[in-house]
Amino acid sequence: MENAAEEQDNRLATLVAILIALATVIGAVVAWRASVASDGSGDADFAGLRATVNLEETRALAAVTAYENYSAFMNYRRYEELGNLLVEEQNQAAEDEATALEPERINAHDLALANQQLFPNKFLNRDGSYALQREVGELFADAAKEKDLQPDSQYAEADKLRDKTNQLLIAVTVLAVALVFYTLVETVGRRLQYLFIGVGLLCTVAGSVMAFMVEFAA
Amino acid sequence: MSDQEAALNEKQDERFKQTIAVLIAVVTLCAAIIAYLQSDAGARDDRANRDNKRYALEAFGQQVRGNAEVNYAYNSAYQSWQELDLLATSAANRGDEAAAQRYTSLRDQARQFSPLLDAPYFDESAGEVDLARYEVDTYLVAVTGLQEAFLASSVVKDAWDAKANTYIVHLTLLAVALFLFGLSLVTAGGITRWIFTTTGGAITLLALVWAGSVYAQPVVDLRDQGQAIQAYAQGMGLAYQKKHKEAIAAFDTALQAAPDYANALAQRAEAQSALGNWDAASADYEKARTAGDQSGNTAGELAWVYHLQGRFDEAIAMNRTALQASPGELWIQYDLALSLLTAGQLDAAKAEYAAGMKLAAEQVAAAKAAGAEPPSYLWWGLDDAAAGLDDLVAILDGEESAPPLDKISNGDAIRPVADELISQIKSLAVALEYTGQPPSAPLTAQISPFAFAKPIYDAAGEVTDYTEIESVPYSTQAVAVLFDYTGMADGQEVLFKVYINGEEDPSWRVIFPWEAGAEGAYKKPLSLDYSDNFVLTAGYYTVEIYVDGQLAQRGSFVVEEE
Repeated sequence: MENAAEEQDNRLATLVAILIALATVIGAVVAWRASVASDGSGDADFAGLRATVNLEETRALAAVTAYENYSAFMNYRRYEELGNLLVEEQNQAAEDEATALEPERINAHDLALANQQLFPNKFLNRDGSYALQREVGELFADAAKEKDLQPDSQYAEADKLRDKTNQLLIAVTVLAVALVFYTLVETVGRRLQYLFIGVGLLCTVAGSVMAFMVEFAA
Repeated sequence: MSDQEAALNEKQDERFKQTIAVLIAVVTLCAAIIAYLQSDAGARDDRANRDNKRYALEAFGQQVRGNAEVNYAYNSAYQSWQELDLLATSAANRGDEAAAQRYTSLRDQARQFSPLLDAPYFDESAGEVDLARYEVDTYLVAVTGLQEAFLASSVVKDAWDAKANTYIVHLTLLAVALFLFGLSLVTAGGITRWIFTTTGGAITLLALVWAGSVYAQPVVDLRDQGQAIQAYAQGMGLAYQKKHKEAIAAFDTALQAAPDYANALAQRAEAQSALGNWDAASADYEKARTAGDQSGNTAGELAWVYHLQGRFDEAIAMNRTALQASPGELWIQYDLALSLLTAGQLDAAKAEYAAGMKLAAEQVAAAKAAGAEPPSYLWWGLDDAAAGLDDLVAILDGEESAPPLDKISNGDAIRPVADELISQIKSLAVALEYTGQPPSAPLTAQISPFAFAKPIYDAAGEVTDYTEIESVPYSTQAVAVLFDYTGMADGQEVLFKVYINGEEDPSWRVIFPWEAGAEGAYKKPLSLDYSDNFVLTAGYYTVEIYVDGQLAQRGSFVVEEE
């Protein structure tokens, strides 16, 4: 009878050892996945910051360029309009007055032409206005073809991976609870031993399932 | 030992081991939980760190874009409008109606080139733009919000970083406890294993209580405090437009959301101060300091409000506190000296002014030695020091009201000291600016008190005589400064500076080598009579003459309001 009890104890000890080993291995795998997720969140943060730098650089350069061009366009319009007003005055003025206005008219139109070289004419609208927002948009779109200008998606990915890390660590904690129960099996009476093994097993399964779901969640 | 005793010992030993096993299991579980908390705190730290950098980059980008837009609107579009308006007025003044019409038409067309030239920013009747409002609407509020978010995330980052690091200490303590529990298992019976067990238990208890207290410590994130940051940014925008009452209301909103928002308290204090509500201002500055703002700037501002309230002893003490936080800050140094002077502590005041002047000279020398230029606040600090003394004299003359005259004793002794210090500080500022050194030679020239006069012209437009004035009406184009001089020498460096309402107008500054001989009478015109359009701006004019960097004379006149 004593031998039978001893044999049962040995079987139980073996079972507990196997369960401890199993929980430890699962815990190690989950901790590894948590570490990978944590590393991934750091990488995504870095990518997000890089994209933010790209975005702000692009926006700033686009704004500076577009307003420089718009300023040249404004001067062009001013001198062109001045020249046109002078032509109108010349048409209505006496000949000597018209002649006196001619140098001013030529200067105005020359300055208009000079300023016309200083901005890209392709952004002129049909009504003679300047498509400032289109220029900014085009500069932005050009930059977007060459570099990442979408930091938000990277930041969202980083936050998602951070959450995943935390959830995996909760799973590790649940597995640690299982280990506690397995460890305590030997310290409790025979009746409670099975209960502790059961609770430990439950924690192992819960921790594993949780880790599995977190890892493979969409 | 009998078998019974041996069995009893074995049983006790078994029970001890079981207890230790339970303890190890519980400590391991606690360690797992703390490890999770540490990881969570680390993750929050990382996230706040990332947000912090993101806000900084976005604020920088927004500032550059906003500056580009505002620079275009003001320096290109509005400048063009002004130029055309001026040409139109000038043509009309000359009687050239066609040209006037032409330029007016062009001027009106120019308004399409920027929202700055449209409502609500443009006052067509005055031809003026509300640039501050445009800046605020274009980018200032947004940038301020991002900068505040940057500061808030810095605080959050530091808090979570501290928590994460402290959890590591707890984990280390628990590891030590586990080690001690393990040792107790392998140590043969007796007192030793109980020492290990008790020590391990105590360390565990310490770590758990400490971890619990760290966990319970809240991390306040200003970004989550309702609309605190947005309201603060709005308040800053309103204050920038000098709409101080509206700004106070916005800061009130921010403080309702976050009662300990130190920046909002300090800025509300500044707005209250701008409105002359000294009691409210000092109360808010005090609250800001209690809320954690220990900056020299806030302490210095509080000291200044104490000074204006006539609480000179508190002002002196607070200025000293501010100087501890920001050693070498000139304006605080001079405020301290001014409070001492106003409190009638003449010798102490002179010593602090002397220390301030020495400090300024050292800062200029250090900058020059490093091949750099001193910062603009140094010159502002010197100007501010002289202006503070000017105000003190005005209070003694009954022309200013803060601090109250009845709080100032010994005014007769203060006045000559103040006059002497004004001269010293102004001379120092000019000498440092032009030579990088304090004035070395004493002033030998004697300049009579200035007389201000309006020129009288003949039919050919030549000045034939002068009429002495104390004030001139708006639309005056020229005023002459008349004085007699002795002790001058040709080649001496002479500088004229003109202040309008206490601020120097650099367009009037002129420096030249003296060529008018040792003595005589001199006329220095302040004239815009070469222009069809411009007249002297309305205000209180102060003209100063410096000879070889030494203030030789100063005087004032008024151009009346329109």
